[in-house]
Amino acid sequence: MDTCETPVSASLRVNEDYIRQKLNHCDDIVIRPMRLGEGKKVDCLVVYIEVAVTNMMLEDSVIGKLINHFWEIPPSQMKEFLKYNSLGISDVTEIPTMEAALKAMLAGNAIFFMDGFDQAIKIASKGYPNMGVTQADREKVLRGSKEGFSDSVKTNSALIRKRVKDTRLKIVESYSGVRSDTLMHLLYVEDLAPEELLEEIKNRLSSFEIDGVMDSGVIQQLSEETWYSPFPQFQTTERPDRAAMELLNGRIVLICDNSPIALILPTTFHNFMQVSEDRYQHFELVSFLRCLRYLAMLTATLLPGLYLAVTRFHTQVLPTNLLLSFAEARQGVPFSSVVELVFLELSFELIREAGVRIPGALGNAIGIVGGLIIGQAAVEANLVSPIVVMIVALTALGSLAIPSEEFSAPFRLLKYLFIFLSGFLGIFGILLGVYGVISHLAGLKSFQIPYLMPFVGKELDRKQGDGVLRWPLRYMNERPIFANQDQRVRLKGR
Amino acid sequence: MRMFADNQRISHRQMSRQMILSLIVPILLCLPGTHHILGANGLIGILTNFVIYYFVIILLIRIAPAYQNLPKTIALLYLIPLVFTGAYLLATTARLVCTYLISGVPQWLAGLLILTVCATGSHMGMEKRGRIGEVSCSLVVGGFLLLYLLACFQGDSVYVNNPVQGAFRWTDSLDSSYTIFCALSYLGFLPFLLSRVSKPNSSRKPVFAGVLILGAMLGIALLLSQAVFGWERLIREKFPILPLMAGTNLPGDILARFDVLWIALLIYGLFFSLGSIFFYGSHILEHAGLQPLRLWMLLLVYIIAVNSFYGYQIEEWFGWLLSWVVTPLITALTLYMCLWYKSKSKGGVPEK
Repeated sequence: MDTCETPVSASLRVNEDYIRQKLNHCDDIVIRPMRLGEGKKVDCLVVYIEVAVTNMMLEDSVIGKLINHFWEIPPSQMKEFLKYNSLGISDVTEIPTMEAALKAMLAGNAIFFMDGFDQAIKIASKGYPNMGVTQADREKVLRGSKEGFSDSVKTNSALIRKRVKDTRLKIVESYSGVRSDTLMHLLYVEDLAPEELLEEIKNRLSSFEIDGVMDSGVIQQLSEETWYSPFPQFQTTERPDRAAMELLNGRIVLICDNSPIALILPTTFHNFMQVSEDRYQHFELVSFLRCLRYLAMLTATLLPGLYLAVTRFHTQVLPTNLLLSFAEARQGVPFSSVVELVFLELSFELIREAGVRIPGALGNAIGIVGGLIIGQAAVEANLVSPIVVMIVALTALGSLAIPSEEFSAPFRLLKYLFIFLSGFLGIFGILLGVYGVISHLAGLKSFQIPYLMPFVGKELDRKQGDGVLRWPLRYMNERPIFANQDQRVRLKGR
Repeated sequence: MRMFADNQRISHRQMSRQMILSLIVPILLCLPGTHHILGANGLIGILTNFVIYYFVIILLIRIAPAYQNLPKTIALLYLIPLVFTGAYLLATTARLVCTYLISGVPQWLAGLLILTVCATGSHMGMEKRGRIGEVSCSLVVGGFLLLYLLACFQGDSVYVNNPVQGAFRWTDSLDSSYTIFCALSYLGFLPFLLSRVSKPNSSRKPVFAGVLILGAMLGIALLLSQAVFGWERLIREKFPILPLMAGTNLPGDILARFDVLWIALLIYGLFFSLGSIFFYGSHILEHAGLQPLRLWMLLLVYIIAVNSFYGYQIEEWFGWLLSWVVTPLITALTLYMCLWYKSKSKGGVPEK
C-alpha cells in the first residue's frame, strides 16, 4: 500500500465521512447505508453508480443475493462470511484502501463496507451501459465473421480470447489518463511477440501523462515515433478476427476502453493494403485484388496530377484525337485546369464529409445528390469540364478502394500536393513529389520495423509469401517478420 | 526481436542496389556520348574494368576499417570530388529538366528545387538511403531494361556488323578503359558505405555483381545505340540515350509518345545519384566532426551549378576534371589510406 493512501477503517462512520466528502455533489452515485444481520444490528454501507449496478433488490443479482443473505445470519458470522466468500460469488475482492475502493466503484462495481471490518468489498455488477457486440461497419467483408468490437474493453478482449483459446495469449491491464483513468488491454501471444517490442510499447505508453483518453486515437498519436508524418504508424481494426490473426502473426494488439477500434502494432505500409478476408479467399483472386488496391492508391494520389501535367505541359504524350476531345470538352470553362480540378476535388471532399456527418439514410442521399446533380449542374453551367468530373470520380473511387480509411487519408492530402506540383511544374513536379514521398517513407519506422517492409529487407521475409502477390496458403509456411525468430513456422505438413 | 531496423546497418542487397542506382544513370547518360565510349573499344573498356575493379574492390574492402577514424584533412580532400560531381550532376539534371520536361522555368529555380528535394533528409542515416535504393533500383533498372527491349525492334544489325565503324584500336581501347575507370572511380567511396554494412568482409560478391550489372547495362546501351542510330550519327550525339528514348514507344499505340516517361525515369535516377553525393558528403563531414559544414557544401554545389547556367559551363570541363583531378585524387586518397591503415596495423592496434 502506498503511504499516502487512506486505509479502510474498521469504523464505518469514518469510512462514510470520507466517502461523502469525496463524493460531494456526485448525484449519480448512490451511498446507501443499511442495517443488516439477524436483528438488523450491523451498520453497512453500499456505494455504487446508479446506472452501473443492477437493482440490488432483484433476487438474481449478486449484490441482492448477498444482502438478502446478510439479513438471515448473526452479526458474528458476517465477517467470516465475507472473508471466505461463502456465497461463492465469482468476482468479490477485498480492497484495503479507500482510494482503491473509489476507483473500483468508478469502474462500475458496487462497494460494500461493514462496521468493524477494515476492508471494503468490491462486488462486480453489470458495469456501465454500452452498445454490446455490433457488426463491423468500417471493415466490411464478403467472407468471414461479421462481429465487430464494442465499446467495452473487456468484451473486446473476450472476443479475441474466443478466437485464440490458448493460455499463451496474455492480456495485460494498464490505465491511462489522469482523470479518465481509462482501462487498456495489451494483448500478445507470449512466445510469438518479441520481448523487446513489448518493453518498447510499455515504455511508450508510460512516456506521457494526459488528463483523459477518450479513444484509442489519442494513444496512437501520442505513441507514434514520427509524429509529424501523415502516414499512420499504427494499424487499426474493429474486427476481432483480424486482431486475432495479427496476434498469431506475432504482433501486439492494444485495446482501449470506450473505443471499438483496436490498435495493431508494429505496422507496415503493406499491412494497410491487406484485408482480413485475404486469408480466406483463393490466392489468385487475392493477388489480383491487391494489385487493384495498389493501382487504386496510385490513382487516388497521382491521377489528377498526371492529368494536369499531360494537358498543360506534355501534350505530345496524348494521341491527337484524345487531345482534341480534351480541348473541346474544356471549351467555355472560365477557369484554368488547376482551379477547375481543385474546385471539384474540394467539392467532392465536402460531399464526403457531409455524407459521413449526416445521420443514416440522409447521408447516402447527400452522396447521390452531390455526385449526380451537382456534378451534372456544374458541367452544364460550364464551371467544369466533363473530363475533370471523370478524373475526380476515378480519384474518389481510388481513395475509397484503399481498405483502410486512415491510410487513404495521407493519399487524399498528397493528391493536393501533386496537383499543385504538376500544375506548375508538370512531370518534373510529380518527380520531385514522388522522390520526396519515397524518401519520407524510407525513413519511417513503426516500433523498429521499416515501414516499407516487405518491399525492403526481402531477404528477411522470403518465405512469408504475403506481398503484393499472395502465395497459395499451403506455401505460406512462415509468420511475418514481426514474430520471434524461433517461432516463425506457421504451417506444417502441406 | 531482431532490431534489424535500428542497427544502423544495411544488407548486401541494399548496398549493391544503392551502388547500382547511384551510378547507372550518370554512366548511361554521359559515357556513350560526351566521353566517346563507343563500339568495340567501349566494350573492351568495360571488360578491362571488370578485371581492374575485381582487385580494386578487394583492396577497398580490406582497408574499409581505416575509414572509421578518418583524419580531418583527408575527409576534406574527399569532399572535393563530391562537390564538383554534385555540381555537374545538378547542372546536367536542371538543364535536362528545362530542356525536355518544362520550358519556361529558369534553370536556377529548377536547380534549387532539385537540390532541396535531394538534400532533404540526406543526412538521416544509411538505413534510409539503403531503403530508397532498394525500392527504387528495380523501378529504374526495370525501366531501362524495358527501354532496351523496345529499342531492339528499332535497331538494324547492319549498323553493328559494319567491320570498319567502331572497330578495335589500341589507343581508343586504352582511352575508353581509362574513361570507364574514371566513371567507376566513385567506388572509392565504398569504404564509407562498408562501415554500415552487415558482414562487410563478405561484401566482395555483391559489390562485384553491382559492377557487372553496371557494365552490362552500359554494354547493351552501346550496342543498341549503334544499332539504332548507326556510327555516323552516334559520334555526333552528346547524350545518345536521349534520342534512343525519344524514338522508343510501347507497341499498341497506347500513348502518342513515351519520351516524357523515359526522361522521367532518367531524372529520377539522377535525383538518387545527387542524393547519394549529398549523403556521402554529410557522412564524411559527420565522420570528421564537421557537420556544420554540410550547408556550406550544399551551397557550394549550388553556386558552381548556377554559375554553369550563366557562365563557365561545368559540363564542358567536367570530363577533363574527372580524368585529371577527381579520379587521380580518389586513387591517391585510397592509396594513402591503404598505407596509413598498414602502418597503423603494424603498430599493433588497428584503428576501428
